[in-house]
Amino acid sequence: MTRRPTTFLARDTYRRRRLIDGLRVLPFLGALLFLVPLLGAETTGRATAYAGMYLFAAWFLLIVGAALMIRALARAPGGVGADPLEPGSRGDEV
Amino acid sequence: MVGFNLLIFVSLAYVGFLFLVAFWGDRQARTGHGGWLRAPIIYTLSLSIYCTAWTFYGAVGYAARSGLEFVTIYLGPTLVMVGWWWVLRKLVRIGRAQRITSIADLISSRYGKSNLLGVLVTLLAVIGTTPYIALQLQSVVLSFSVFAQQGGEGLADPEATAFWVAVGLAAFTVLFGTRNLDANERHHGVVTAIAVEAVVKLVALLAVGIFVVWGVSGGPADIVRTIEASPIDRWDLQGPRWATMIFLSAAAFLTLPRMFQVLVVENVDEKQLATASWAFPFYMFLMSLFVVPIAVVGLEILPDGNPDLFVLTVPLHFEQGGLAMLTFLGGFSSATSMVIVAAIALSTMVSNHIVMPIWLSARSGGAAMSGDVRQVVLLSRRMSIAGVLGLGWLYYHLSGGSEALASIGLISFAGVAQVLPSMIGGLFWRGATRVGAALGLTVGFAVWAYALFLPSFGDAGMMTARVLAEGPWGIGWLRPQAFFGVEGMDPVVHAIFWSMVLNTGCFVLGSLLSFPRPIERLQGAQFVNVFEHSRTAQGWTRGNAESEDLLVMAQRIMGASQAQALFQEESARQGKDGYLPDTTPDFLRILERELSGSVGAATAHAMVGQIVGGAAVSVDDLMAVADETQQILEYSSQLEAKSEELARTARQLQEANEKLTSLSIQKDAFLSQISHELRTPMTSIRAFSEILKEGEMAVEDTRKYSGIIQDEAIRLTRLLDDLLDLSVLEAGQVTLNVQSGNLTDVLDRAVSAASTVRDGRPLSIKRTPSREDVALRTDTDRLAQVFINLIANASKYCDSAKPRLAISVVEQGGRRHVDFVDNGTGIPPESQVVIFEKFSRLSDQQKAGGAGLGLAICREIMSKLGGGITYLPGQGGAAFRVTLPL
Amino acid sequence: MGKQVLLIEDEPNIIEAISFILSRDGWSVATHANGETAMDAVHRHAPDALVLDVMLPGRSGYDILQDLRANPATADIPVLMLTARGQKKDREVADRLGATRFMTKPFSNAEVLTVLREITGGG
Repeated sequence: MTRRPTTFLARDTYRRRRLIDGLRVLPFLGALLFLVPLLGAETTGRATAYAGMYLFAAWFLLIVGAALMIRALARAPGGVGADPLEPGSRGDEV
Repeated sequence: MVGFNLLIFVSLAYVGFLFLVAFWGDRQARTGHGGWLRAPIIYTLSLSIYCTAWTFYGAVGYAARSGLEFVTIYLGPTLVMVGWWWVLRKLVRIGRAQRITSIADLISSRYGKSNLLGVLVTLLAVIGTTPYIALQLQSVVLSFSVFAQQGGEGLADPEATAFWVAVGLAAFTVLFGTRNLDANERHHGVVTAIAVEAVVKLVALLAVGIFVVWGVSGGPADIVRTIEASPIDRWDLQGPRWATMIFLSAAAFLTLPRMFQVLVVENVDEKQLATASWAFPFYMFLMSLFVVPIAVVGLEILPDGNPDLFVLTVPLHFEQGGLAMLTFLGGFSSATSMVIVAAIALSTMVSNHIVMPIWLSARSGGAAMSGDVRQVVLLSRRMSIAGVLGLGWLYYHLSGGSEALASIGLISFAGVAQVLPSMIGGLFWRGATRVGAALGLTVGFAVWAYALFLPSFGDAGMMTARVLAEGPWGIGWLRPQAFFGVEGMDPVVHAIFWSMVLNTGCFVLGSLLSFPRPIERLQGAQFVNVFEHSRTAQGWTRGNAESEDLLVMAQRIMGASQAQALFQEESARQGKDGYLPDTTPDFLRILERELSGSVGAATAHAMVGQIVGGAAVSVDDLMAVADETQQILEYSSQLEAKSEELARTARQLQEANEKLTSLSIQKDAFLSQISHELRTPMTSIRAFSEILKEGEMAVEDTRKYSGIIQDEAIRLTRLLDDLLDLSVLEAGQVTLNVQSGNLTDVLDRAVSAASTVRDGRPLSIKRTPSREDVALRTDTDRLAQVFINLIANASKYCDSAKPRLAISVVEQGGRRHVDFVDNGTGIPPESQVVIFEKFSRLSDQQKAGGAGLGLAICREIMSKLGGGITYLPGQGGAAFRVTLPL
Repeated sequence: MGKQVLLIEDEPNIIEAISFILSRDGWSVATHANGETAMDAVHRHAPDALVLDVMLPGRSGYDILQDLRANPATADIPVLMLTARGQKKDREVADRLGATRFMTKPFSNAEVLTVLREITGGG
């Protein structure tokens, strides 16, 4: 079976929009991670050391995720300053 | 061991160093070398003022008492930063588009430039921040006393220490925070110093952490064992408190006046925000990484010590004097940077929303006519800074530096967080109104004060144990810590929950039930749709303002050169010459925005309103609000651009036409004038020579009449000389004698030559020799001729009782100008365009002796020399600006 | 005592010259140098003839002439207009406004005297 190449217009812009979607989701992901310890907190006591490790690990992952996304966004056409979905903002203006 | 005196010396040296850094940063920015100031890393570091002494020292104490809960203080801001695309980006964009100067300005501006809201938020911020400043003073005093005790002496007078720290901070803030009234309210020196302090506190805390983990303990595994053995080995997670704290710190991060200052006001570039969105969480991550290890090691070796000071006492316990010193500087940095920025932010708010409106209304004469506004603004800022720090010290003094202060951090957060509903609502909901915002703010603030702030004073305050237990006047459902009988909630969670719920409820309900004023609707659309039309903040309709009055006012607020540049730019845009553009709504809007960068939106609006008068919003503007769809907006903006271009072309054509007509009229007038100027002296000469010819005259009469003939002949010669000079200049046949010279010399020559002019009155001339030392390469004789003419004109026409002429050298737009400003009544606007024309003597005073060719000659000379001469309106008297050749 | 003439002119040397010539010829001469207050001066002096310059500070000689002719009390005073702008247009304006005679500066002294005598009816 051969795969035919599909035409996909404005690939860069599309990618960039999805990156911005990712950025929008990030704080909710963060909130979720930070609130996970609440589950079952009433019934079980947790060790400070290991709970702390979890929190710091989640925190660090969130930071790394944000940094990578910003980096990718900065390289995409339009940079970090503009949102293609927002009328009136152009790529060259920051 | 670190001696107490050494500590004093080191901290003074550190302060001196910070002064140098701030001074240097300011200089770099002013001399245009400040590109690196825009670097995202500087911005990220400046955000670190979020980490105050409360977090520097207090986080370890917090961890020693409640385990992991301390981390919520950082998790909230992390979520806000990581989610920058949602809120911060919008805030920053609005901040720039609307020239927002503070959080009070934001709220005031959003809700129709309402000063009531500005005052409300300002008061809330002052009340919420004062205890926090007191807390910083306390932390400095406590850390001093730790060292003093080590030296065995004890701190002689903690209150005096706090007092002098406050005085020093006020001096620093006044010096670098109110150096000038910047158009965009940015403080490069302060930001630079704070970035340095941010590094110091991070390095200090990391150093202590590394020392504790690898120096005291045997590495991470060992620390885990220490934690297991400590009193905080179990994480007693209280769900509601955990979630509330994350929410509260996130809210406070957005609403603290000082955070708004560094996040929004000092932001110069949205790229900074993108980088900071992960870099600042990383900073906080590092700041909290070693908090638990330090806490458990401290608890182990100093079980009776104050956990809030473990960061200091642990290194001291192990005789690590240097490390302790570094930690001390870290804590000192945390405290001072917070206080400085908070003082700047609060003083801007107090000055713009409380002092200036009062001052303005006291001066009913109007903004344009009342003194130098800049001085008033700067003075009121400086007084406000002193006032804010004074309040902080007073709070410290009254609370006796007690332990109770430690809990004030959260209370303070909860206070300023009351702004959140109005802020977020204002950013995302166009239906939010001033009434709703005022209602929500008031109710939230009241609940906060009642349920959290007042009870924090303990029995001594207004909330006695009885009130707490039974409610005021025995009304059970009003118990400060159990509203509506809902018991068992943590007091902080309770207060935040109810204040936020009631605040938001009143805000929403108030907004739904009230009608916004037109200007609120406009501002609402501007804010909510900021990305769609960043460039069109709304304001004024058909202006009937006098351009010159506006220029006078703008000069007083923004400074002469900036205001003139702005007006000139607008004139050029409208296709006109000179400094006085038409007062189009567009221009008024631009002007108001520029002014609001200096004095805040509400004040700027009021000032422009005083001059322009009339309603601010027209049907056209309201139509703009109704245009919600993108297509219409885009279409109308295209139309607007086109009609603007048409209008510009029409204006240019009209001007060209006027010029042609006036040229032909001018030619006639010129001949007629020449005839008049030649025939008048000729009349006297002919009449008297006929008389003399008849003879039979007394000797003295003969002498008198021949004297008149001679004078008139000289006058005639002079006129012919001038005419010849002018025609040679105009025909371009003049040869310039270019030589090197110095402006001082040329001016000296001109002043002494002009003083011999026969028919002038004594004129006192004020010069600034220090600025006149300018090397010139031009025809200095011709330049001197121009100066002589201007000085002679002032002495002839200045109609003041004590004529004075100020000659000053100004640099603007890369060119040097020499301004000649006298203290007479000046030249009326309608005449300003003709004075450089030939024979345009404004009064018919023959005694002045000139034929009205002087300024025409000046203009020709300056254009030959490659410079220029213009009339400068709005300076009080007649003012001429000579632009020196390059 | 001879007839009275009022000279309205702002150039000091010309005032001096005309005053000298006229008073030597037996006229009694009053002078006034301001255009704005010229009408008051005319009413005050009630002269037999008026010598009026066109270019005056405050108000032009033409305006003054117009006022003179509009007011019955002064409508009949003979007026000699002087101007340094000797264009044809100026003369036409003066004629239209009712100037008795019109002269261009510089003038001959004798001519001024002759004209003044003529317009005041011999004398």
